[in-house]
Amino acid sequence: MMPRTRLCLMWAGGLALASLIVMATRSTGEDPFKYVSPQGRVAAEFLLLLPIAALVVCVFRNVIGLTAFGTFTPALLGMALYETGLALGLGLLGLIVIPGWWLRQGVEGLRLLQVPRAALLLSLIACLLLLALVWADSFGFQSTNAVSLMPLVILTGMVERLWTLEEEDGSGRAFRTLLGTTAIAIVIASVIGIPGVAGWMLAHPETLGVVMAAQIVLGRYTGFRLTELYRFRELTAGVAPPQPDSPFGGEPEATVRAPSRSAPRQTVY
Amino acid sequence: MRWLLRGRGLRELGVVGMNRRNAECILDQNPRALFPIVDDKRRFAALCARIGVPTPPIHGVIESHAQLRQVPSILRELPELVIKPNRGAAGRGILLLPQPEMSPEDIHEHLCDILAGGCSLGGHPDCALLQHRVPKHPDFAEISPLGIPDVRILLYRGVPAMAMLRLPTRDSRGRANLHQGGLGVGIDLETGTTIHAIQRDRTVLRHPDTGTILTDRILPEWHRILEVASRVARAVGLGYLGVDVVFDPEQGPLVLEANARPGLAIQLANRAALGPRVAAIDRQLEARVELTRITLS
Repeated sequence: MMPRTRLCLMWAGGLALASLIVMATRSTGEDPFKYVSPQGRVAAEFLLLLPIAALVVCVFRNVIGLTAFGTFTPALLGMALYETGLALGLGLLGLIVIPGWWLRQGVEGLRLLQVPRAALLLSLIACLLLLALVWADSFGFQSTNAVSLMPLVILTGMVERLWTLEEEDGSGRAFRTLLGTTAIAIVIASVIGIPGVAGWMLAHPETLGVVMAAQIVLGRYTGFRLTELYRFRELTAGVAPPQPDSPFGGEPEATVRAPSRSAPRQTVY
Repeated sequence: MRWLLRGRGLRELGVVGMNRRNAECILDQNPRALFPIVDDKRRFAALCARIGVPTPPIHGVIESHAQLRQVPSILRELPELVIKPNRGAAGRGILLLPQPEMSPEDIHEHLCDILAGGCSLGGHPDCALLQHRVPKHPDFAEISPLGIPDVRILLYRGVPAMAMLRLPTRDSRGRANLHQGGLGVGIDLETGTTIHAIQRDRTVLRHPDTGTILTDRILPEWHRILEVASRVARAVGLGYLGVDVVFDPEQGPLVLEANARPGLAIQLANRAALGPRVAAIDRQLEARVELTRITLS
């Protein structure tokens, strides 16, 4: 186990070091995207911020232990919230996911095959977005951008997963997952919305090396997730009945006992 | 809120968390190429037959819509069956027959759903299995009145490391899956005696539906179950494997299926940490290798 972890740490250190060297040696005044068109700059900003969003997802999933729909649904949703602004984006999200989930229940009665069903759901959500567009426009709201930025496919996937999860594991779990997804997306939108982050990434794209180094380090994090401390709390709750010996003929290894305070702290990695 | 400070205590006990399971058990011990052997129930049953491990017999496989015409005649001959998707996950799409309130058309529709992949891993098109339905075992009538219980044996490098009995409840809608509200009852590996029980990660002393005490019960044919599970794990070749065994009143223990990503609630069900057991197995296997080396030289 150890050599592999060391290998990962070496790669991560090398990547971080390399990007820092590039950052330090490059002439600072030069804009790396100076020949790129304005639309191209928007795309570049998206591409530079998405890995940061993905890193935030890693922290939430592997260190905190929040459940979410899919791996990158929260990342893309967070990017959308960043583009639209939190209030408008969340309003739009609620306006689409809740009726979408209700429509999904109606569609179930038709017993459609999977791909046509997903296509129908996509069309229904497109209709909802169109309604939101017309409705917001009648209030003289500048929402055209926001509507086009809400990732339609991601929303369809979310509605589908919400419905399946509710069917299989109950509404409580389904809505907890929805809440988790939204919470991660809000944090992502706030992190990449910190003034200067987007500007810094455009001026120093080599920072992605540091982001990737952090992702490698998280990839070998084998410690507990925050939510697991709660989940396994009964195991450290003190009064544990002694358990018979392990079946391998060895010493009584597997007995749960109260943790001894003097034992040396183990490294996490 | 004291649980927030318990990380160190859990680490000292050797409790295995999700990250450690994924990195050190699944990524390091379970080669991806071997997953289809356990995810594909038909392939898994064939493997068990090859190594002489009894499984519930499969009476029919429906691979295409054309074969659906055979279903009524099979059902007339064998009314007590389980319909399940070949590559199903988390108990989805499993239908116990006979169902008095279901018409033949309803069953036909359910089979179409399975063929279209509506119940399977990743939603890929699948085939449906018509499997022998394990009847209720008299020894479990008191402890599991709602549906069939199964025993999950968790094996590390082919050696049993932990075990639990999984009981369906009203809350879990008759399924034995723990995250859906089924009961997990820890079992002492040496004697096959139940020692502790949980529901939704919390300790329970009695069955929530019937009030029966769950601990201090001895499971039938315990050592045979362990032996069969080890044989399956060695044949499959996955180093971190869950093997599910059901009790048939006539045929004895039958291996139902295996899982390449077994969960960690088994630690709570046993009130024990997996880490020291994994380490003990590693040590024991290394000692065995050492012994062979000495004998040979």
